[in-house]
Amino acid sequence: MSQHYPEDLKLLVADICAIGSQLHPGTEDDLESLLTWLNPNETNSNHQLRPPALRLKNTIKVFANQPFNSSFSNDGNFEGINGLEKELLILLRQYYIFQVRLNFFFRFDNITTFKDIQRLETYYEFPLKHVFLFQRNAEEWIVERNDLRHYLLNKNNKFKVQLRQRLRTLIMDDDFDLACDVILFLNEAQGALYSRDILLDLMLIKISHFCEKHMENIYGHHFLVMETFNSFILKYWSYFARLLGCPEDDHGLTTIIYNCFEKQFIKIRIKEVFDVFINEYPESKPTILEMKKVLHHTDDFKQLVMQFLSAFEAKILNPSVTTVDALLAYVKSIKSFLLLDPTGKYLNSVVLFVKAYFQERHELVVILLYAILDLQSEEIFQHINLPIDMKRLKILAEELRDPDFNIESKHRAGGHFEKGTESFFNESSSGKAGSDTQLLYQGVLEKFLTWTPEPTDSIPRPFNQSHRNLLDVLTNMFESKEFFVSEFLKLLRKKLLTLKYYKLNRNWSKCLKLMKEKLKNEGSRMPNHESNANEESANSNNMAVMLRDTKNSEDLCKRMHQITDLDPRIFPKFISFLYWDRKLDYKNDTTIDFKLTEVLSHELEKYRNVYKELQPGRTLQLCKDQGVVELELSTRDGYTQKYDVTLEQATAIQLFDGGESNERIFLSLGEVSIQMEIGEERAQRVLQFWIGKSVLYKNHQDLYGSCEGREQEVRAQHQSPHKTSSYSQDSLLSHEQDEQDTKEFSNKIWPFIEGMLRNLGSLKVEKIHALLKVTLPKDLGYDMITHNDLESYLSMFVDDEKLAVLSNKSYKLIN
Amino acid sequence: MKVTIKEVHSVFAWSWLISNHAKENGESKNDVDDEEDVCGICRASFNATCPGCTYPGDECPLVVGDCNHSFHVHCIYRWLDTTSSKGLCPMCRQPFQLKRGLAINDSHIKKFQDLHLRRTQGQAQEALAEGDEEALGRVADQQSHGNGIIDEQGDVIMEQGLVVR
Repeated sequence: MSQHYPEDLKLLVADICAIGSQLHPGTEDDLESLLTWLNPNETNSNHQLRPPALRLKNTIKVFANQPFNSSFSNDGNFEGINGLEKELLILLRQYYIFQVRLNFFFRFDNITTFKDIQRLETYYEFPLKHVFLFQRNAEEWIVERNDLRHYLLNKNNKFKVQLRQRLRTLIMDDDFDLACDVILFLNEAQGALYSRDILLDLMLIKISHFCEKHMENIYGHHFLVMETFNSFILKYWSYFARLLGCPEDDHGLTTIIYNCFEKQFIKIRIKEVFDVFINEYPESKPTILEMKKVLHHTDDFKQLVMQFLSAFEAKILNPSVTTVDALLAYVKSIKSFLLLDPTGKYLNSVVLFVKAYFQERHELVVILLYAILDLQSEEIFQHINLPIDMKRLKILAEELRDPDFNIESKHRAGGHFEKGTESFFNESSSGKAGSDTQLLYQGVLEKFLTWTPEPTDSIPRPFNQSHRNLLDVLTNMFESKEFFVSEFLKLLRKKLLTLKYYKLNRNWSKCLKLMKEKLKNEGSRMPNHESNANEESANSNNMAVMLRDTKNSEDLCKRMHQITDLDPRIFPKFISFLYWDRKLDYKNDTTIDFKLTEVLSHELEKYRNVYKELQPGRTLQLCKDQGVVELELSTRDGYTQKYDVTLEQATAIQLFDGGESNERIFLSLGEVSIQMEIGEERAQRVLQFWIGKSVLYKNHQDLYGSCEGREQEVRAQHQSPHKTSSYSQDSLLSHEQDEQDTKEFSNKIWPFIEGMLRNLGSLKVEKIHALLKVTLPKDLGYDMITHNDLESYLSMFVDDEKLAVLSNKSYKLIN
Repeated sequence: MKVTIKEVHSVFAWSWLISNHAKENGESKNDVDDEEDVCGICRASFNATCPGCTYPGDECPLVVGDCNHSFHVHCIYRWLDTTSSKGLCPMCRQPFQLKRGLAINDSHIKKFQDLHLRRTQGQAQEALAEGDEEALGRVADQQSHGNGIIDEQGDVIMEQGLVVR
């Protein structure tokens, strides 16, 4: 085909020349130069986007523009044009189109951008500004141009992709004027790209970007979707309406756009669900409420729950997160979920998922109870051996006391939770609603009329409707509620047994009320679960008896203190042992029984006897492993300190009582063991307690004695007065302890070092360190030893003449 | 060093003194172990409550019979209040009477006396209606025997460990 074209072209040019010479003989050269000037393929000699020279202008005038100059009438018809002139014009048009097509297809593959085609079109249209080839029939050129655009769009994929990209960039950069050009091009081309489709797609992307910018990390606004939508419409809608060619008040379209904003909001919030529900809570409450309004589809909910759980699993349910933090996060998420979905349906999925993870944490129940009770730190350290961040625990306790979800709120425990949250959501209007029964009634009616059944494929309903308050959800974490309650009882038991006097503080009494209420409700709610009900009623009964015992003890104590013979420093508690999970007879239990000091034993015996008189038919047994003794230790140097200790510890320290003369008493382990009638191991444990308190110490003769005056003793031994003047008792003891530890550890590592050097000759300290790290058993704790520590150990061995240092600073065995 | 005790918050466990009665009754050691801690009627521990009570101790005390069998007061009263009990101890089938002189029994004597009276009156009425003179005589015997419960015996030291008057 391509070979035919030049032939056709030649014929065409010949025809043009023939007619030209007929019309204006002797102007063949001029005509030829006109054709060359027009020809887009003659890049070197054509117009080159420059106006024609004067001679060429004349030629144009003569051959092409003459008819229009003379007889172009206002109505656009040609009159007085003779046939040849007309034919010449037609041929010139054909020639030009021919050349343009040739040029276009020649460059076809190089047209990749919108700019390319714009430049090319300018190039093709430039001569037409001077030569009025299509003046008579402008449509012809437009059709030709649009056909070329159409072809380009359909066949040049690269261009199509680039164009789409270009439009996207323009829209995203808010360059709507240029975007308008592209849209016009697309509309005129009527090709494979439909401007409306692209525009709508781009608008969605634009909305998505706009939403990301205006919604992400913004949780405190109440009507964020509406606000964002409004600012979008204000800023962009006029442009988009123009580009789409629709009226600005097309409410159908704007409603769809609003829905897009809602969808984007949901998408963004699902992505951020962990931050919204946990990190930013409670500041994120407004956004959760807005989510509640917008989230309707179960699919969205499912996605939200899944996203939440995966984030929760990754960030919270891993061993590096402390139980307090995990619990805090969980409490926040419960609140958030209940805000979002007051029925608790989706929360149930979360509860089921996290349950297993939380159950692995054994200290969970204690921490939860401590948080519920808001216990003071010293109480925690009494009962738990875990490092707990008190600040975080305090926050957790405060979180549990959130007035909106208060664990103590009664109406939720007894009534329907949803009712409670509804009133929370309508906080501002609740006053009105309460005063106007008509409104309340309307609300109920409206709810009834608009009720729709839950889709059957939604997430399954919770097994029970127990999500009535925060505490219920929290207790759901455990294997059973009885477990939680029995743990609470354990704690209560501990608390009451170590309680000074007979009054529980406010936190405890509040919590007790709560538990009682809970047990009562549970009992009435589960008539079918006999075993559970039995266990719960037993728990509730135990609790009641324990409290009654404490109360009765107080009354009895008051009566007893009125008896002159009894020591008023004793505050006895009389417990019904079966309800305190205790055995009565421990006489043969060597872990509990011990011999009290005569004085104390005598005083307590008096109480026993009085009790027998006051309560006929009953007897008492002292629980030696329970109770608290408050004692004061005063040293010769006037230093006094108070301690709250167990009976056993008190008895042990009383053995060292120097009396009024403040004499120093030294006892061996055996003596203490005999006097207290306990095993040596147990005696050592008790003495260790007092050593830990820096009250006792063990001297070099293995005798235990009080630390008072110890400073002078050490000074005398070491004969270095300048050193000891600043020594405190503690530092002195710890220094001694350190020395002992160092010796012990060096003895442990010596066999390894010896073996190593025996096999390998001499080694540098780095090498020994590296080898010890690898070879020593883990339980020796070598991980904690640094390079410098090892060096000091090695120098100790050198001092002991076990090792020698060589000139290259390596160590070797002596002999 | 001087150690001064400021306060002692001690804990005592109370329990009913019951073990001695059964032992005195000549029951074998094994039986004592098995039976001593539980009420023969409700099978709950003496130191716990009968099924109807919540708080042990003052609100659900024990009583000791002449036969040295102990029961929660509510259990034995309810038992004696039934016609089928015929006023007998459910353990040894002897006529049940509260042991005299025991302080733990004192506060219940009046109640048990009324119950006894009511039962014998009922029996007498029945016998009268049937015209059974022999039965009437038996009831009269029972009544005089029953009154024995409240005979003023004065202060008698009965057992070690129980407060007696």
